[in-house]
Amino acid sequence: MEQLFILGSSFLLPNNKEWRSNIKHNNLQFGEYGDWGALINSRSEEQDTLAVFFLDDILSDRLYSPSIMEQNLGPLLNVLESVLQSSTRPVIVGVSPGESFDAVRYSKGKHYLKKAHDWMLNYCEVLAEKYDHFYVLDLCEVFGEISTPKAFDNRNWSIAHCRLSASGIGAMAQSASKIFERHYFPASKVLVLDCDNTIWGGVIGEDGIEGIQLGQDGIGQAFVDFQKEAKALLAQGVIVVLSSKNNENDVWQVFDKHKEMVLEKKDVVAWRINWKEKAYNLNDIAAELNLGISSFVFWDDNPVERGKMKQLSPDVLTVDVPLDVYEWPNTLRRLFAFAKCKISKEDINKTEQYHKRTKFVEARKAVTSELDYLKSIKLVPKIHQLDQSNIQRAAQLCSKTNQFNFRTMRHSEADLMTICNQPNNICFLVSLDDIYGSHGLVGLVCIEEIDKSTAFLNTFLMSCRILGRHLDAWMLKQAIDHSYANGFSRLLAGFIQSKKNSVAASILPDHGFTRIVSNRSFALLNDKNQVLYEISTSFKNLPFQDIYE
Amino acid sequence: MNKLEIVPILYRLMTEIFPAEPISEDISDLSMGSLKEWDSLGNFNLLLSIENEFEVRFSAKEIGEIKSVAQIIEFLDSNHG
Repeated sequence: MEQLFILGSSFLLPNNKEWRSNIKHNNLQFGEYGDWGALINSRSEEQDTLAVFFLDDILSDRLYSPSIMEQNLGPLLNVLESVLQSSTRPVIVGVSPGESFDAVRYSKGKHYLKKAHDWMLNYCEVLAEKYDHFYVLDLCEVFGEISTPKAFDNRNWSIAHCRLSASGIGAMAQSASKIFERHYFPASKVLVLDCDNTIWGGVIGEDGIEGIQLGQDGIGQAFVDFQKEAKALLAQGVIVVLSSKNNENDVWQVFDKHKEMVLEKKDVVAWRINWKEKAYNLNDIAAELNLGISSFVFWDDNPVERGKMKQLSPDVLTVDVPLDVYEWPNTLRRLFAFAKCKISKEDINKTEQYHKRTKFVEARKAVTSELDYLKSIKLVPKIHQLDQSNIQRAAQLCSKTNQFNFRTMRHSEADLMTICNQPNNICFLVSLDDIYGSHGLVGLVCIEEIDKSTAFLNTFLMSCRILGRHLDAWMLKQAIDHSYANGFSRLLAGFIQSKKNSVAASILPDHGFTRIVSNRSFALLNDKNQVLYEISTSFKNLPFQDIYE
Repeated sequence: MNKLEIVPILYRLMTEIFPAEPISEDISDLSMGSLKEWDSLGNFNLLLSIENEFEVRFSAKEIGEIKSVAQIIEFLDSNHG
């Protein structure tokens, strides 16, 4: 998050302290308010964008109809769309219907500004669906947080043509900043819960199943509500693990027998119920699930445990949980760490997928010959040509896959479409089934034509969820065979080292690719950080292929 | 609140709002124009952050008139407990 271009339909107090203390970009540039052409003329392609509409500024005749909206906003929305097409930097549009009126004026239907607001939000939602890098900021919600009248300031309007107070600017900047942050950095993935006094009240080892507080009016209800919020996160792709200093049997007894439990044993993907240090337990779980410890969120009522976690494992997000348990459900529901802009189909079954992974890891430990074992679980990979039905998943894989990713190209849906639409290019996703179930779409391959005889492996990535099955070998074989079928005699591949992809560094040489020096005539190949490899597309002896026969 | 208490807070605000050049800790003689960033917009931003910091409110007229550290101190002296 480097540079941000900010533009409003009225004045937005450039350089006000509230901007700098809430926005994380290093460099803020403000356009002249109302000059929407600046989005094209003054904004550089390197800049992220925040454009703010006060509908009062736009509907000067105080009337609403869809055609008036189209008339007044049409040219501006065209500018916006051309910005979205020309750059993949994130764009946020903030929309405000201004201050609210009293209830009487709403009592027979919506005020014209509210109708205009709805029209605008609907329009933006369609854009947000179409462009991955476009986001809507409903300022009604944002200003409601700090109380709407406090967000506006009529004196500032009269003096400087700024509708907002400094607090209003601050609230808007903070919300926009969170969206930008989520655009660039993924949400946390794992909720770690303590048990005693966290998912129920009391200590199971002392109070027994009858004695703990869960479901009764008062605090018991708060623990039930907290569990409901945790359960709701499962449907958003968050997985739940337990970390409790307890006797394991006591804990599972509550899960099995207590009627008020909302979380079920099947909702818990991994657990460490023992007397060891929690930070070390979490490291174990992270290794078991093959997830980075920085995607873990730790929730524990005990300030001593939280303090130790912060010290021993500072990359874990330790939540400063409110003293008052009644606040917990709401705090968890609103936790930014788990906030996502959209929920994908893959997210919904995440818990199930990790259960499969856990079974896989356990079974693998038990079998001596790795290859015999892999054969025994009947891996069935499949190719899915890239099309409208799966492109969202492909873009999601591009944005999220850090480890097993040769070039870490963060292609958007539009980028992928561009590559895919060239006639000799090859783009496909890979799904994998085995006896533990379906793992969904877990790999992506994009191959671009360089010239008649040469193709280049633009993108090769695989979800780390299915590491250890040599699916990479099968995918490389498919890449080579498809290139051959399209008439290419040579396939080039590049590896660009990132902070996280060292696991994939030796894959190409291990599978028969040979290193070559950069061919300077093609931009794609010219990245000075890229190590280039090539292979003949008639090459047949890729290792591990018999696993898949 | 007297001048001795006000000045350090004001100094901190000014370093935040006008970060482009170093400001000497003796700010009592500064006024709009004495710093590059302290133009009329800078003055407005400064007064708005003073409002939040000291929990005071300037009238539109005062926003037009108050343009120096001396005037700010005088205002805060008489309007802030």
